[in-house]
Amino acid sequence: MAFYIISSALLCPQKTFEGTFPEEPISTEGLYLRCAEPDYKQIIPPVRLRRMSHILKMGLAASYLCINQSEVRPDSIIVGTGQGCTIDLEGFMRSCSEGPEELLSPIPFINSGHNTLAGQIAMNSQIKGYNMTYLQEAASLESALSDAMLLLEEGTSTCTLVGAIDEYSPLSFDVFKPHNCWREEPVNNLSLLKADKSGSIMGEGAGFFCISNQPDKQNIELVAADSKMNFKLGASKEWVNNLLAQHQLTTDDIDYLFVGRKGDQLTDDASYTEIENLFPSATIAAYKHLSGQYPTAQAVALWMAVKVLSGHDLPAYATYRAGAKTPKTILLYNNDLNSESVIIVKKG
Amino acid sequence: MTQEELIEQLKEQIIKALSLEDITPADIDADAPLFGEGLGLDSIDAIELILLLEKEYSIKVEDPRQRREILASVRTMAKFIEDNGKA
Repeated sequence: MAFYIISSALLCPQKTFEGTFPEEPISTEGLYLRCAEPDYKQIIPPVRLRRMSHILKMGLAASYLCINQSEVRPDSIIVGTGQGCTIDLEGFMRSCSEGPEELLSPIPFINSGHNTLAGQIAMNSQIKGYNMTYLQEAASLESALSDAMLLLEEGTSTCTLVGAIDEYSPLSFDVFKPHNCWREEPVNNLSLLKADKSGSIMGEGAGFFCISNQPDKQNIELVAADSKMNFKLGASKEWVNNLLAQHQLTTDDIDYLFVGRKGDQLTDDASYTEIENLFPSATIAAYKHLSGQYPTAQAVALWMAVKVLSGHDLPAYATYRAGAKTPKTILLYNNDLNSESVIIVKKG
Repeated sequence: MTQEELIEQLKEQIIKALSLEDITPADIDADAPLFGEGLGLDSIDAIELILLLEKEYSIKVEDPRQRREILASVRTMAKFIEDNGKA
């Protein structure tokens, strides 16, 4: 059975919510990137908007844009988030520890559950079917996509809205800091991929995709979404080759490769060189200098891959290694927090 | 503090507690209903307003049946605070 991506929307630190690659990327100096946001009041009813935290606004807006672009109305919602609603959770936990529990405000509590994202999207869109949230760190998006494919295959759904959301929060930043995740000094995001220092910059974003069992005129097929824990140096090639073989593909079929290089001198080459060498003639694209590093950042790559397969040229600022092949089949590979993930999409 | 001063203070506190970003104290009619019409607040906002009374004025509304009357408008809230000697 084939699955098709019939619409996509992305909110990230670049101005992608208008639906195309920005002509010029946002360039800024710092340790993290915040989302470029649309006017939420045009998208979310003001009464709901005032209670929403940053991550909910991002998710609601991106899902709204995605549903609106879809020729088929989704009947199910699946969200993947690596860290969930961290800012509301922090606020709720802080108020628990600082004040009497009988005086806790209900709003941070309501908004602090990970599954509130998918729930709020359901309330906003009135899509009342299957509603699921995956909280699996760097494999959250891939788990959500896999579940959507199973749902479509068993016939429970004809079109599923799949999203990936994570937000920047000072506490999350601090939690990962001791693991050398972040740069010590502020860096310009467009210089990040030089990888001349250890660590990356934190980012955030919300990417949504309508996955259908029927193609639209763009005919972009979601071939595979898979992830594997316990990364072992030298074992990625075999895993990716097996995945390609399962879908009757070879390394020669891959025209573009999207990699999750994040500008970390300590891990980038070890994480990505093996896979990059597997596809010597493919164009390689990178995106974490545009989005920052966060668990579901591969949604940025998926959105970009959909745009490329829809006929948009890959911008020079996202090209890591130029190639000459026409993009027909694209493999996305991310290696983060000891977890590898692959998504394959192709023009049908 | 006069009742009018208390009303102005309450308006500021309500805007902050309920994240009424586009509303200024001048937009709030002290006698207009807080729920349904007027500001169009709902049951979650009612919980926030009860918490506001407890946190800011140390007044606990013991009888849930009183809430509708107390939270009818900003003026009824101010009067309740005055009646409990907390203004």
